[in-house]
Amino acid sequence: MTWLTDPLTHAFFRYGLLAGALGGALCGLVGVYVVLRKMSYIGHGLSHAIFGGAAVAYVLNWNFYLGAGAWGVLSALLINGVSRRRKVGADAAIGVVTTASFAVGVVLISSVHTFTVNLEAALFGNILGVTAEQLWVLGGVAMVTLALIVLRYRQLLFATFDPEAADAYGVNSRGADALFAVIIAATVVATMQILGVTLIAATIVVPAVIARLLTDSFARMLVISTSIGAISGALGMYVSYYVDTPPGADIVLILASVFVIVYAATAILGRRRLQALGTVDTHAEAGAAIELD
Amino acid sequence: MHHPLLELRAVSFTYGDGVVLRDVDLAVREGAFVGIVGPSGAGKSTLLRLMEGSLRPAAGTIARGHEGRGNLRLGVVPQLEAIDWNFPITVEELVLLGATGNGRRLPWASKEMRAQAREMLETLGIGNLARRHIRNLSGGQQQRAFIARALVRRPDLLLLDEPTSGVDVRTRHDILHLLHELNHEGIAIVMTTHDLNAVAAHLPSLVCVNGRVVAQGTPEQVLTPDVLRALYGAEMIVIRREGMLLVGDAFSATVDAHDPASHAQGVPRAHFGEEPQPHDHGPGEDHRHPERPRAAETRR
Repeated sequence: MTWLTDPLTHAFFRYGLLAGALGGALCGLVGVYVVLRKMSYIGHGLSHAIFGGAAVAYVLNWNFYLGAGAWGVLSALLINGVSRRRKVGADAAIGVVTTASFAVGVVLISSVHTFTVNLEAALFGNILGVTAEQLWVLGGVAMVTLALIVLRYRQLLFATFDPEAADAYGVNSRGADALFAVIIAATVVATMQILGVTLIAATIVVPAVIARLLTDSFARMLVISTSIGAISGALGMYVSYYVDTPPGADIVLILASVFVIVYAATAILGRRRLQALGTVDTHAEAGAAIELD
Repeated sequence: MHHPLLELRAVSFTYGDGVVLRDVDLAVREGAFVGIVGPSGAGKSTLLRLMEGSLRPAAGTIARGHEGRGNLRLGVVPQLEAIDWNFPITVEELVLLGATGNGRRLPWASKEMRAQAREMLETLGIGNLARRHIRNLSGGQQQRAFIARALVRRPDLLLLDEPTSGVDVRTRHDILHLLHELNHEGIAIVMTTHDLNAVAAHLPSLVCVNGRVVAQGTPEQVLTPDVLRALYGAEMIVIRREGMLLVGDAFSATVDAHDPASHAQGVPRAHFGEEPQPHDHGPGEDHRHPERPRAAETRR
C-alpha cells in the first residue's frame, strides 16, 4: 500500500488530491442538472466566458474570484434569460453569450501582455500548484452547492424535469433556473484555475453521462455522478504522480475510459437481457417499451 | 350553489404578434367536469396553461379560488408528448414530485409521503410499477402516473392536456372512467381533447375554442352543425341516437334517408358504426361527395 501513501508525503500532492477529489465531486454533482437540462455545452462555454471576467479582474486589479465570479454569474443569468425566449434555444444562448464574453477577454489580454502566464494556468489548470486559498474557495463552493441542492432538491428536480407544470405545483421555476445559473457559475469559477478552461466541460458532463447509463433513478444518478467525479479526480492525481503526465488531462482520460467501459457493458447487458426476454416482455403490458440499458 | 374555482375575464393571449386567444370569459365551478375542444392550433393548450398559471394573459384577469377558501390547489397533467421520457425518474419519484409544495426541506420523502404515494398508485391500479422507469410503462399507465402526481397534493382542480391522445380505445375509456370517479369524489376537472365523441358521451360540459370561445354549455347545446362549422370550418354532422350524441365529418358519413332511428342535424340522416351496405352506393358514384350516400365511419 506504499504506492498509495508515498505521494501523500508531499504537500503539493495532498493539496492536489483534495482539489481533484473535491472539484471532481462538485462538477459531477452539478453535471447531473447540466446534462438533464440538455446544456452540456454550458460548462465549456461558461469557462470561456469567465475567462473574460478573469481578464477584466486582472486589468482592473480586482480579486480573481470577485471579477470572474461576478462575470460568471452574470453570464449564466444572461444565458438563462436569453434561452427563455422561445425562438432562442439554450445551446444558441450559450454560444452567443460565452463567445462574446471570451472575446472581451481576448481583447483585454492583447493589450496587457503580462497576463500570459496566468493565461496558461487558466486554460489548462494548475492542480499541482493549487493554493490554500483556492482550496478554501473550492471547499466553500462545494459545501454551499451541496446544501442548496439538498434544500432545494424537489424544486430543482421539478424545474429540470417538467418546467411547464412546475409553477402550478408551487415551484418557482424562474427562481430555480436562476439558482441553477448561480450554482453552475460558482462551480466553474471555483474549478477553473484547478482544472483549466479546456477540461472543465469534461468533468461536468462525463460523470453525469456515465451515471445516466447506470441508473434510471434521479437520486441515484446524483450519488453515482458525484462519486465518479470524486474518484476520477483522486485517481487522476495518482496516475499523474506515477506516469508524470498532466493531472487535469489524466482525470479527463480516466473519465473517458470509464465512459467507454460502461457504455460497452450496458450495451452488452441490454442485448443479453433482450435475448433472454425473447420477442415478448412477459412482465410488460401491451404498449410498454422494453428497457435496454 | 357551486362557487367558481377559477374565473377568466376578458382574457387575451399573444405569442409575439399572433393573437392566440381573444376575450375569453370562462368560469370553472366546484365539481365541474369541462372538456375544451377545438381544432389544432385553436389555443386549447394555451388556455389550459393560462389556467394553471404557467402563462400570463396579455389582457384580462384570471381569478383563482374564492372567499373563505385558501389558495386554489391545482393538479396539472401535461401532454405526454411534451415529456422527456429518457429523464431518469421512476414512477414513485414522479409521484412524490406532486408533494413538492408541502414545505418539507429534506430531499428524501418521509414515510407518510411514501405511503401516500404508494396508496395513490394502488388506487390507480399501478401500485406494482412504483420502481419502474416512466419510459417502461404503457400509454395508459403513464397517464395514470402523472394523474397520481397531481392527486397526491389533493387538488381542488385537475387540469389535463390531451389525456386521451395517443392511447387505444380501451385505455381512453379507462382514463375517462377514472376521471369520472375523481370528479364524483369532488375534484373539478378541465381537460382538452380532440375527441368530440368521447367528450359528448362522458363530459357534462364543453367549451369550444378557436382563438376565442365559440360556444360553451352541455354537449347537446354545443355540438350542433352551426357551432362545429364555426369551430372547424368544415361541415359536420351530429347524430342523436338512443340518447347518445355522435359527431362525424360529413365527408365520411353516409346518409340513409330510409333510417327512421337516426336523426341527424346538418345532413338528413346518417349511419354510424355500421358496415357499408351494397345498396348504399352504386358503381361509379362519388364516394367522397357528402350528399351521395355511403357507409359512415364511427368515431367511437
